[in-house]
Amino acid sequence: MDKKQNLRGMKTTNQPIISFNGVSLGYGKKIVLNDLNFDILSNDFLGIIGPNGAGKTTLLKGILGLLKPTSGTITARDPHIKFGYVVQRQFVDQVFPLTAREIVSMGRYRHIKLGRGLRKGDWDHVNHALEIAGVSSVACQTYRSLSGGQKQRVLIARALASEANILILDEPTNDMDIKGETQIMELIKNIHAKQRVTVVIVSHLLHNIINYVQRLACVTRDTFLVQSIEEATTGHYLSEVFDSPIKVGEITGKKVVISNGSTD
Amino acid sequence: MDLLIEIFSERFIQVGLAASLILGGVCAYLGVFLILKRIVFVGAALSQMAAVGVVVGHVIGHRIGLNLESLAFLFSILGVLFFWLPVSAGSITKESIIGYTYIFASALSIIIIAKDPMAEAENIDLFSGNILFVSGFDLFLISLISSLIIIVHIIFRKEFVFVSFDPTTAQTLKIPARLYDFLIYLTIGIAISVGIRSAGMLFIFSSLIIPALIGMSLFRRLFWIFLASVISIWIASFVGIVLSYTFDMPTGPTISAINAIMFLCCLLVKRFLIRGT
Repeated sequence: MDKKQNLRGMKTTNQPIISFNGVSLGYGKKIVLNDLNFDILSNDFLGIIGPNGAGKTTLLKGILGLLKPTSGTITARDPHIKFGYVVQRQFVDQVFPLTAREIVSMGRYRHIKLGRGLRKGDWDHVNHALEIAGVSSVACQTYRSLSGGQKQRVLIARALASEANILILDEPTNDMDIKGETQIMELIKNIHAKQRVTVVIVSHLLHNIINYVQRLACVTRDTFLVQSIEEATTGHYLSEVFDSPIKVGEITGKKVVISNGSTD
Repeated sequence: MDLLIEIFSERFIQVGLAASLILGGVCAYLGVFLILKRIVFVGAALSQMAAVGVVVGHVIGHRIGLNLESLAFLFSILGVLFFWLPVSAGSITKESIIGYTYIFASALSIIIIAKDPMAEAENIDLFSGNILFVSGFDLFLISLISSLIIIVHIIFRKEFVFVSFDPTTAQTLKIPARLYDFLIYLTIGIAISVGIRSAGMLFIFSSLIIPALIGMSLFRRLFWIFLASVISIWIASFVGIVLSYTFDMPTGPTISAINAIMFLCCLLVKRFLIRGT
């Protein structure tokens, strides 16, 4: 194997793997995001933040190829790209009668021919993904019986089981308590470090991701800018993005976000 | 026992039972998708669309060279396309459009029946059907098309479950979610159009809904839900045909009523026995 490739076949150096060149995204005649120019790098840990309705999910759809650009080009620079999408937990049917293992096994479907079931190798991937996500012990339980954090882990495990090399997570910590938020973010951080996958995470919970991501893409109705986390986490810049007074401080080495005088 | 032997030695009962087991079984299986996808009303509206096809067939079918089954099929497919396509009109929801279609199709079929003496005479059959009058050819047709539906669902089983559960993620894995979604709708529409004339709207719609409810009330795993749904309609069909023969009751409504009572029993058993232990 090429030393510059990781186990999942992707280049490990910080080279562009997806490039947006003058891309506009929208629905019909309505343009939501205009003239996007940025790269997603191999082994990137990119956070996408912005106020509600700014176009974060639209951008995600563009990255995933679910939404074609109205102008410009999105170029995949690596032939080995495989997306692992972690959908918002709320968008998944909570009462569908499937076990955690059955849901994770869906990640293997793109590798299996029609009418065929999973083979031993596929189940090995499923079991490994369940283990990485820390949900092996609840694999045989129904999805509906799991806690919010466990459900999120199952969805992450499904993305891992697909042998994805780019994890795309849409609001993975929504509706979680502070402990749950931290546990999920730590899991994503570990996956990024140990599995060496590129991670793109969308969140409107600023405090949640600034201590984890390497780069931050800030989406507003008028602007789009990708910066290193150090550049992006200045109070002045974030105040502009969210159109609200924001300060960024540090407590025991961790960044904290204070909005309008109260902790965000 | 003698009574059962007497009943099931009749040729028309054998054919009727076979038709209700095949049609009911297929509808019970498909009904699980209807319930899980939360598109129950689509089943009702498609049944009504197929019924319009049947009554239109009565009135003008012979003039345009199409039989009842072809027109029921045609109208069902139109309904499938209409419900599957992302149709919306501003703030009007898809549910409202389905409800509207159901009402419009119902009104249309009643008006057409009222204006056609021949169709009016068969009006009651359209709703309650008479599965005991199924001909050998009808049974052949029902078996053939049901087999095709089952084959499609065996081939695409895992994909159908995936796109019903989480279509967006399926799309990101290069699984054509919209196409599979259409196939689910299509198989439901075909099953309805095949069964509507021989078994009646009530039998078809109740077979789509009640067995799935029974399965879901008893089990939390998909495989067992499918199995319990199919077995429940088989039991209801068997008991319903015996009661219908013995007490001279309409067969389709009797099967539906038995199935409905079975669902109530399941709820009661679950409420008082399983939770009580």
